[in-house]
Amino acid sequence: MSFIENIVNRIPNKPMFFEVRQQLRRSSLESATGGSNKLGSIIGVIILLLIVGSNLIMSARYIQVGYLMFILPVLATFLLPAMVSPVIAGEFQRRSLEQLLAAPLSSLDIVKGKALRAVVPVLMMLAVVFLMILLIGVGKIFQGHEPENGVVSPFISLPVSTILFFVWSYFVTGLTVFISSVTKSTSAALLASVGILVGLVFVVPAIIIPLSTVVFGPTVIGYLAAMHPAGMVAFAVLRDNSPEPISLPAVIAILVVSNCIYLAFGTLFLNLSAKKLGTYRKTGFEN
Amino acid sequence: MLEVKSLTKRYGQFEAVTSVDFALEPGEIMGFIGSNGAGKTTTIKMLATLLEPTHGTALLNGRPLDGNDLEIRKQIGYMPDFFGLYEDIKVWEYLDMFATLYGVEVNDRPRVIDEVLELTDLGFKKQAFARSLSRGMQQRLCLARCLVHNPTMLLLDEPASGLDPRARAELKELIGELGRMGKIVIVSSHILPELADFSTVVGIIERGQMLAFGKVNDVVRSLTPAKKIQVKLLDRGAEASMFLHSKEHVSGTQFLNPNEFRFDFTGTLEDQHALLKAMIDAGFPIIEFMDEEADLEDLFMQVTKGALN
Ligand SMILES: Nc1ncnc2c1ncn2[C@@H]1O[C@H](COP(=O)(O)OP(=O)(O)OP(=O)(O)O)[C@@H](O)[C@H]1O
Ligand SMILES: [Mg+2]
Repeated sequence: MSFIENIVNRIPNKPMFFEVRQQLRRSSLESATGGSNKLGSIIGVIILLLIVGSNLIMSARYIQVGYLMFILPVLATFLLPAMVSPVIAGEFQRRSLEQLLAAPLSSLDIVKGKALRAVVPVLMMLAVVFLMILLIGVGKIFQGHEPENGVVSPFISLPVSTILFFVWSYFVTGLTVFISSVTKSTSAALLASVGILVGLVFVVPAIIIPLSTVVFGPTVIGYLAAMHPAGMVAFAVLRDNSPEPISLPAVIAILVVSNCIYLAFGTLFLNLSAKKLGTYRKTGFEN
Repeated sequence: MLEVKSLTKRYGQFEAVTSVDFALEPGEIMGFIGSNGAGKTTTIKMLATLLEPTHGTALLNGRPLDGNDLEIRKQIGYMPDFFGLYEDIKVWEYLDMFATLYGVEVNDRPRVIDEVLELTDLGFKKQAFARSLSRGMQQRLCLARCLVHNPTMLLLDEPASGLDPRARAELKELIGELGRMGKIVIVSSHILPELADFSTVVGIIERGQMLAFGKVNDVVRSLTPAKKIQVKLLDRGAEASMFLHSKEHVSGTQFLNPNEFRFDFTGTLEDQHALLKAMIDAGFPIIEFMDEEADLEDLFMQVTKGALN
């Protein structure tokens, strides 16, 4: 038996892993050998991004390594919808959903399993970015850079941003799967999910942050921005630069609350998608 | 054993299946016949737990076919009328995926996959991409997929559509084999004669109503208002015809040649026997006296037309 099959057969037989095996077979073999897989082109984009960003990364100071981590949620915001949005809508388009609904899988297993398959390659790619950031961080330490006063230590910012990345990815995946399960067309699902996420990440802060500054004054900006992954960068910068720094307990409280909100919404969306699949048992598939 | 009791499905106001009842024993193969929109797919999907019945129940070996019961699905093999295959999956990987899903042990999977490929004659395509198969081969792959978990009941929604004559013959053979393996099989089709060969029972559905259910011959008899009997004599054809018309249950004579004719008969088998005896007693030189096989195609047309009126 081949090396890959050995690994594939070791994956525990949990219902939600039903497509991960296949993903492993395909992405490991074909894409590594230049097969016609979306994965190849996405890896290409990542490498390009890394080259373009390398100047910035290399000139970064030791203390900014934690901030670099916020590249990950931003990348995830674009990569995840691209990979996840076709999963359920695609099942509709190719008429393969019924065989899954008839199998001993719950609707939630189907939703999770389909999402997981799409998420795994994105996570694998982003793991590469993560490793590079870590290496740069370690490299800077060996170059003798010291943390500066009043700046979040990387020992806090690295784990915090890692957690935030996973939570945000979970939320984006949940939202995208939900959109995918209500649209029935892969192109509509992609447009809708990218549209909504771009709105959430860029348009909403562009309105809320200036507005809140006018109404509440500058310190509240950080709190509001912290509810948001892209805003985290702004938050961290603000925290470092604001005349009256926000206390560490306040930072932690904000992070815990915002992460819980994203987790809750991610779970809600996953369950709503499963519920949507469940409704076809009542109405049939024709409408 | 499959027991279906007053199974009903309503889509909004429209009732697609109305109070369908039937029961099937292991090894029975039911030909499920009806014209377009009769309610075959709706009924089959309810049995596959894909659609929730509005009323009624279906029990497989005493266990309700309930959409929330994941375990019962392992006893069902459902082949949809339309289906699509994944883009980048090979034939054996597709079967492996479903074998895994249905809980086939990792060590048994290679053997099971080879077996179902052998059964559906697809062994030579094991390493091909599923999407590259011809329509008929995809159909067979889908059937193979229904078999990987060795289900108790098979629901095949128009499995023969898109198959060439040889593949059709092989499919019939395979379905017969599945029946002999003790499985409950339901096969839907528009075409009655196609099913009559291997079905042990037939169900005829029209506009959501089960018009007839039972052994092929019984159904044919129950649906035929008058059967045709063909008589051949050595001599005295015209006289025999007049003699018959003096008897009960006889009408509409049609001569094929002077000593050979057929007539419509509405009596029971006992009446039929009495009639033949009376003719022999009267000394008519009969050499043939036989029921004419009802034409299944005609019968189907007749039944479905009746439902539409
Ligand atoms: N999801 C649905 N919503 C509303 N009506 C439906 C739905 N599915 C089927 N119907 C209606 O129910 C009736 C029965 O359809 P069904 O698909 O069961 O017929 P069928 O016997 O399988 O026909 P065919 O031979 O064309 O496959 C049809 O009138 C159809 O229009
Ligand atoms: Mg149908």
